[in-house]
Amino acid sequence: MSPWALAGLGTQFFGAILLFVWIGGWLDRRFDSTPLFLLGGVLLGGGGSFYLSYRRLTAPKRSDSRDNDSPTS
Amino acid sequence: MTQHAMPPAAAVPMRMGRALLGFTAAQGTIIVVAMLVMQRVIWTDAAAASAVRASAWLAFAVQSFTFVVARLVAREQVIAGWGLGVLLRFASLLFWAFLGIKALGLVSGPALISLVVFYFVSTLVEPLFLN
Repeated sequence: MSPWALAGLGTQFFGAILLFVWIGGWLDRRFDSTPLFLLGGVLLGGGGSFYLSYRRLTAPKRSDSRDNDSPTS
Repeated sequence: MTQHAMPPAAAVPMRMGRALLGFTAAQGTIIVVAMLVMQRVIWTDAAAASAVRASAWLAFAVQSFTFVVARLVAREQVIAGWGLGVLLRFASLLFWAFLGIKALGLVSGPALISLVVFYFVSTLVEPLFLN
């Protein structure tokens, strides 16, 4: 994997967290519930982007194993 | 004229030192620029600006540490090293969100969002120094 592909993954990872944290901060200001939604945003954004990054990193392996498992006619 | 080749055992720490120096300079510059932009444009009041400054220091320390760890692992596997670095940063983010901010009495929004921004911008340059 090239350095730029890894940089793209990192951008996706922290970009998603940033988005969820920002939404959490906005919800906290709206409902005066600081820091409940902010912390929820960290967890949700972090968990979601970790799962997405994991899927993207293991995608070539998964498709390889599927190809090997399929019967050849 | 004969050239004296450096023995491999001595070359490894030297390469690591050079990479760490380069990464520290690059991420330090990026963090300072991002911090100044956030303090001048987004969070201009004193409490928020101080929260951003605290997050910048934390980001700088955590990034330097995780880079060394990631680079040591990346000698064998680049993706594993990079992934470990990202995980360590995320762990520090959780620590900051649930303990650090409260312990230091910082404003939670600016402190947390700025930390993610610092990680976000320095993750862009890290892979260049991992190889």
